[in-house]
Amino acid sequence: MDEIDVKSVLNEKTTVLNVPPFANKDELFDRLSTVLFDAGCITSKEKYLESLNFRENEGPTCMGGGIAIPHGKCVEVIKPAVCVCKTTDKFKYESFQESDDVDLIFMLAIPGSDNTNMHIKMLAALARMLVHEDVVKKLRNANTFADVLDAFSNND
Amino acid sequence: MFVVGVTSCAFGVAHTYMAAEAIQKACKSKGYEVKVETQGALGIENELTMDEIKRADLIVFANDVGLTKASRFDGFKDKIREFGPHAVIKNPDCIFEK
Repeated sequence: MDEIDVKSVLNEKTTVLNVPPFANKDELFDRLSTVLFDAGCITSKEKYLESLNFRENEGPTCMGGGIAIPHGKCVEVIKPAVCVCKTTDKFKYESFQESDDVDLIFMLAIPGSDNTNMHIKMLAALARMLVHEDVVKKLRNANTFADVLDAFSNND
Repeated sequence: MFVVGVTSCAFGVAHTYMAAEAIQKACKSKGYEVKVETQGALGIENELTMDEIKRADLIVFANDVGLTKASRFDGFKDKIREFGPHAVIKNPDCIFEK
């Protein structure tokens, strides 16, 4: 997993740093879906939201440590992406009978028809990195897109 | 100590790989040898061999969908511990708790 791969799913347009905490998960989903739509990653916000909520009904996407990884997979995703969001304070994220106070959100947009697996590989690699405290710490201190890239460039 | 693991999850994108990484991290921090097979959207990766399964002191399943090639583990029930991938990600050290 080298830096160039990380960069291909990260995008300055889908990086939302230091925003005020959201009132709830729905507000978060709505906002980040708009970001993905505006960045040209999805063609329908409504369908993407549907796929996010479908996933939410399968199991929790709050991963502990203030991190949430909601993910939507549908044919309306035309460009695989990760929307990286950091809020200035934690807010309550309720997900499948669990609840966690989160401030780092990585919303995955996965194309419904995936023939190459290339982007799944990248998303999987990103998910692996989030297990490491040093990566998370860098992300939590990130103020610019370059900081986010730097955090994800660091792997062992 | 040699720990092997198998992880999987419904979508096969996030939890499978996070749980695998969490198991590796927990084992490495204790100085244990570790190998984790992932059964995710990419199919089986880092597949465990019969030798490794036999040699393992602890077999960790972190799955919430059925495992592929589960018959490899027949006969080793006494050293298998089962968890959900979510539990392992939130508290990796749970795999060592008695």
